[in-house]
Amino acid sequence: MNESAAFDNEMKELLESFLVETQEILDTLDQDLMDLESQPQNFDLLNSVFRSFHTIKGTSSFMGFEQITSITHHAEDILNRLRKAELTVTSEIVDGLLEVYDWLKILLKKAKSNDTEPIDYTKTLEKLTKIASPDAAKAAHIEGLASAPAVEQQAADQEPGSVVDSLLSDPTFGKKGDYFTDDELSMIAAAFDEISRNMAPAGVSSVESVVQAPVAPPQAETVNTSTLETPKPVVAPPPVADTPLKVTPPVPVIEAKPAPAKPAAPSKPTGRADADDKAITKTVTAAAETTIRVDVNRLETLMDLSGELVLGRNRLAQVTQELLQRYDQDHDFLRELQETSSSIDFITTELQSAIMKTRMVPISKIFQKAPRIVRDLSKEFGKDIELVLRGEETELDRGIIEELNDPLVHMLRNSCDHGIEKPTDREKTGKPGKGTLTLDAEHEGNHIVVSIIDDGKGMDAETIKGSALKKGLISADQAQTMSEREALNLIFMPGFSTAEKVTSVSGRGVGMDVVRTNIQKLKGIIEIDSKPGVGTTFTIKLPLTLAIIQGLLVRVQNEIYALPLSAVVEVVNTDLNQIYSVNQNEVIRIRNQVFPLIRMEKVLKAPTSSDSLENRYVVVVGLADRRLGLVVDELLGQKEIVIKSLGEYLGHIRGISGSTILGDGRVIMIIDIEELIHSHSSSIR
Amino acid sequence: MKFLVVDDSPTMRRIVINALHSFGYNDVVEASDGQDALAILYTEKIDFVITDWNMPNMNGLELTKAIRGDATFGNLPVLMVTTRGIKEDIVQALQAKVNNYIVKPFTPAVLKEKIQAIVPSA
Repeated sequence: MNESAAFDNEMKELLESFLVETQEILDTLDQDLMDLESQPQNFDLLNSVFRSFHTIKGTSSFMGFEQITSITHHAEDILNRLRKAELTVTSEIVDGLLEVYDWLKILLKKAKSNDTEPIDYTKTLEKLTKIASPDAAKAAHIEGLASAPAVEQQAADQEPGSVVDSLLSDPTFGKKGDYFTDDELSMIAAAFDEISRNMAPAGVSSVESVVQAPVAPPQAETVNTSTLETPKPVVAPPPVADTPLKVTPPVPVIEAKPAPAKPAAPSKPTGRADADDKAITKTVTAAAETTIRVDVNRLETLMDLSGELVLGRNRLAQVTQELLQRYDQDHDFLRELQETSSSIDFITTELQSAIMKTRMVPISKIFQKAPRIVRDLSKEFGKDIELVLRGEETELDRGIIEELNDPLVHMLRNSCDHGIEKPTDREKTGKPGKGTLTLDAEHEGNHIVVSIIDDGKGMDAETIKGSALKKGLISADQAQTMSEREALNLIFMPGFSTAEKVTSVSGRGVGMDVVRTNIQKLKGIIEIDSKPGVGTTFTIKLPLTLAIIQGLLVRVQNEIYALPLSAVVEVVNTDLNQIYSVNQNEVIRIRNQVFPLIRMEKVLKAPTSSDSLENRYVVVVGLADRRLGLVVDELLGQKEIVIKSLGEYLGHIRGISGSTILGDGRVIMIIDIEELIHSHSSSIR
Repeated sequence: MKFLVVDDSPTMRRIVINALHSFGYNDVVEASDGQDALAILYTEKIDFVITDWNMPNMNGLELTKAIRGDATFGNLPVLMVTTRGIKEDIVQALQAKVNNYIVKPFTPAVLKEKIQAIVPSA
C-alpha cells in the first residue's frame, strides 16, 4: 500500500518534472529554429536544437508519451543528418521542424491535462520523411560507416591483442547491414566485459582500486622515471582465464590497459593547474544552481501574508501617530515606539516588494512568441516585416502575463494582417518596402505600458464609422456626433471587422472584442493612436499586480471610498461651464474630449446634502477603451491598499469590488470601475 | 556505492535516480554536463558514473575520455546512456573505454543488470 503510494508520488513528480522541462525546452526552441534558418552554418546552434529534440525524445519515451517520442524521433533524424552535413538547412526544413514544434506544444498541453486521445500528425510525418529522403539518407549512412575504419585501425594499432582491439581492427565489423549481427553483438558484449574486467579485477571492486592508487608511491615514482612504463599496480588484473572467445588471444592485459591513459597524461591537470580547473568547473556548477522552482501556491500564501502585514503596519503607524498626538512627544517610550514603527514600516514595504518580485516574470515570455508569428504571417501574406522588440526584460506579475498573452498575440496578428501593407503597396506611397512592427514594454510607476506600433496604413475614422454603420452597430446619428477616438474604439465592438475577407489569422470579427474583454479583466487601459498612411499604435497600460494596489481615497458625502489608482486617468475640478446635459445624461468636457459623468452618491445611494456640482471633483477613470467621469466630494490622497473580498456574507454589492482596512481600523469599500462602466454603457443603449 | 548521474535533462536524471533508489542505492550525486561531473569527481569520491551521451559543454564521450585520462579515478566504471544503438556510437564508446552502454528507454531491471555486469559485487 505504502509502497505503491510512494511509487505514485514518484511518478507524479516525474511527470511534473517532464512537463516543466519540456515546456522550458519548447520556450526557446522556436526562436532557435528561426535563428538556425538565418544562420545555417552555426554548428553550436544546430547541436543545441538537436539536443532539444533529443532530450524530449529520450524523456518522453520513459514517460510513455509515444506520440511525442515518435515525432521528435523524426525531427531528430533530420537534425542528425544536418549535423553530418548530409543535408543543409533550408527554409523547408525549418518549416517542417517548426511544425513538429507546434505539434509538441499541442501534445504537451494534452499531456498536462491528462488527455490521452491521440492526434493525427501523419501529414507532418510524411513531410519530414520526404525531407529526410530515406533512400539518399541510407546511402549516406552507409557511406559514413565506410569512412570509420581508418580511425578504428589507428586505435587498434595502439593496443593490439584485446577483444576490443581485435573487434575494432576487424575490417568486416559493423559492415553487414544497418544493424549489428548476433555474432557482432556478442563480441561487443565480450568487449565491454573485458573493459570492465580490466578496470575492476576480480575480487577487488573498482572503488578499492581507486583508493589503492595513492597507497603505492614507489611504483608511481618508477612511472615518472621510466616514461614509457605504466602504473601497473593500479590496474593490474590477475591474468585470469579470459572468457572463451575465439577472437581473444591470451594477452598481457596489463600492458594494453593503461595505454589510452598515456597520451592524455601530459595534458592532465595536476597540482595548481588542477586547482584552476576545479575553480572553473565550480563556477559552472554554482551558476547552474542559482534558481530553484517553487510551487506557485506557496508564493500565493506569502503574498497573502504580506498583505496582512501591510494592514498591520498601517494600523501600527496610525496608533503610534495617535499616541504621539495625545501624549508628550518627548517621552522616550513614545520616541522608541515611533522609531520601531517607522522601521517596521520600511521593512514591510521592502518585504512586500521582494515578495512581489518572486511573482514577477519578464514579458519576454510573451514577446518571444512574436518572431515566429511575424515570420509565418509575413510568408503567408507576402509581406516584408521587421520585428523590433524593446523592453523584453520588463517584469510583471505572472498572473497578468498569462492573461495578456492572447490579446497581445491577437493584436500582433492584426497588425501583420491589416496594419502593414504589401511591399509593392508601401513603395507606391513612398515608404520602404519593409514594414516595421515594434513591440515595446516599459515600467511607468506602478504600471506597465505595452505598445504595439506599426508603420502600416493606419486606420481611418470615417471608414470605421461607415463599416460600423453598415453592420448596424451604430446609428447614423451616433456616427455623426462621434469623436475620432470613439470611432477608432468601434473596432473593439463585438461583431466589428474591417477585413475585406475573412482570413485564417484575423478578421473573424471576434478578435478585438476579446482583446478588450481581457484587458478589462486585468483592470487595464487601452488606447489607439492611428494616422492614415502613417501607422497605428496600440498602448496598453496595466497595473503591475492585482493583489495590492495603489488606491486614491475619495470622500463621497460622509463615506470614504478607494478608487484603484491604475484606473484613474486624471482628476479635475468641476467647472460648471464645461458640464452639459446630453439626452438627460450629464457629461463633462475636458479639453476636446467629452466624458459621461456619474454622480457617485447616486450609485452608492448615499444621502445627499446638496445637488450642486460646485466645489467638487471629477475623477476620470478608464478601463480598456472606455472613459468615465466620477463626481466625488473630496480627494483624500493616495494609499497602498490590500484588496479583501467582501466575503460570502455580504455577497455582491453593486459598484463595489471589495474592501480594505485603513490604518485607523476603518473598513472602506473599493469602487468597482469595471461595473460602473458596464452599467453606464448599458443604461445608455 | 556512490553514484554520479550525469545528464542535462533533470527528468532523465530523476528517472535514473529513482531506479537506483529502488535497488537500494541511495547515495547519488547529479551533474548536468561533463564539466559539472568532472568538478564533482575532483572533490568527491565516486564509485560509479552513469552518463548521458549528448550534453552541452562536455558530452558523455568526452567525459569518459577525461575520466580515463585521470590518474586518480581513471578506472571508474562508466555506463553510457544513449538513445540509439547506432554502430558508430558503439564503436566510439568502445574506443573511449566506456564500460557498457544502455539504450533509452530502459527498465530499472535492465539498468541493474548493466550495473552488475560492470561491478558484480554491486
